[in-house]
Amino acid sequence: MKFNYLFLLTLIYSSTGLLAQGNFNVKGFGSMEHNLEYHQDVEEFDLAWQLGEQSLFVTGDMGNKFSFLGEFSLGYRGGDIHANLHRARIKCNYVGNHSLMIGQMHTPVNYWNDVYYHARIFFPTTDRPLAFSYFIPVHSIGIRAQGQNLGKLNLGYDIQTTNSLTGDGNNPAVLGAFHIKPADGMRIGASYYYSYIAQNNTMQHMNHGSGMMGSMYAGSLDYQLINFSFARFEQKLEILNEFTAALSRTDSLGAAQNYSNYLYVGYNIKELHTPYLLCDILKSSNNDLRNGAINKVKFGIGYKYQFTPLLNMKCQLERYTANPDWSNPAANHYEFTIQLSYAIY
Amino acid sequence: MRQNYSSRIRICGNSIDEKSYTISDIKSILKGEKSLWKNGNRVIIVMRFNEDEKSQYLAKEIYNKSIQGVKKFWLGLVFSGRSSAPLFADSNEEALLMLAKYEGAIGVFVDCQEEIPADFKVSIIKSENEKSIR
Repeated sequence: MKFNYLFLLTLIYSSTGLLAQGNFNVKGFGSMEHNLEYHQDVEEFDLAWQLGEQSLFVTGDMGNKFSFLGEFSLGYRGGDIHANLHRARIKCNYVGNHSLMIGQMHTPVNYWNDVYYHARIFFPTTDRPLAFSYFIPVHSIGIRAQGQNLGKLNLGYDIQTTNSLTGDGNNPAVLGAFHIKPADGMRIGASYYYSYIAQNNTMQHMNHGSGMMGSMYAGSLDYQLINFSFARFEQKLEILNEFTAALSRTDSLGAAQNYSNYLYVGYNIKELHTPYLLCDILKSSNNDLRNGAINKVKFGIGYKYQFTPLLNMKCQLERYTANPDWSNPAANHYEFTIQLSYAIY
Repeated sequence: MRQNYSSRIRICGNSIDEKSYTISDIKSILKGEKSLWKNGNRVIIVMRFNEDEKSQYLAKEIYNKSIQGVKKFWLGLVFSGRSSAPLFADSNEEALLMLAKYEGAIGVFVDCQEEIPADFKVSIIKSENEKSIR
């Protein structure tokens, strides 16, 4: 069993008895779920209870202009409990709605990563889009300039320089993102991210499973991401579309163009009931040396019930398909998930 | 043109920038879209908010949502780190005490019968292109 020392310290210092003074808040969120998988190649069902991430969320003010935000989680994986630090940043709100942030943050490449973080209670579906397993740099450590709710269109921007996708500080990654919120519940945004990866086999810590070719290709590559997000969460209709183009370039195989698109459409019935559809497509080219060739499609239907704003349940049925020559035939399968997600506030 | 935003709703502020705001400005501030006043004080939202009819009225008038919808709205903003949570009070008296305690606090009240100090009073200006209160 492995524990993160920083996480233990946070648990100790977050006890109300030790820090009863000052504007310091501790909140939390987590999830638990039950999965049923049916694999067509073996014609068998797999059943499993799973405990999702259990996160602790701490915020504190340091005067009018400075604040701290931290997010730490415990997850159960491979028989061990793993502690992770997701966010730890200091923010300086230097004027109006403009801020500077330093620390580890979620990379604001798209709506999902900028708004939902690890809190499954906010996820519209039971899990992240497929792009998060291959393309998206979830976390980054560095410095960011941020503006939000500027002008009539509620313009927001994020400009940041951070360690590279593989955590290499000698080759900083850069990101520019903007969005507008022309109406209540609507957000339209785009972003550009660039990272030079000196060694593809470097263990990377920002992504949730990317760099699958790390054991096969250890050379350098240029990595670019272009994202477009459209989110519309009205009282009745909910739509979220995340498009990602991931472009990698190596000296040996040249430029590879990879794409993914996630679409969620939900309809609220009396606010508490939300049936929904999802379609998630991901394609990675043969000459991509970051992830290899992937052609993956996921269709799903689901239903969300909100017990309270702090507790909801999602039931989701998905069908995964992949190209037949992909190395993992088990990718073709059905999955049914019941997920309970919650926030402690 | 100066007029009541609604006969039931009152806005108060402690050391905020102006003594009068338009309806859309107030809605924007109460939705967490402003983080710092020009005078350098942090924007702190104080709301008398629970499960009663007054809260339902406030939720509809300011946020165009239900009570549960407003709670969900703030939960999302707070966990994303984009805004600090409002200070929720169970009564107008409690909300006024909170307002008095924090410089930069802006409070919204429904059917407030309590005496509001003159320094805290904020009036609402209806701009020409805001024809309706929505």
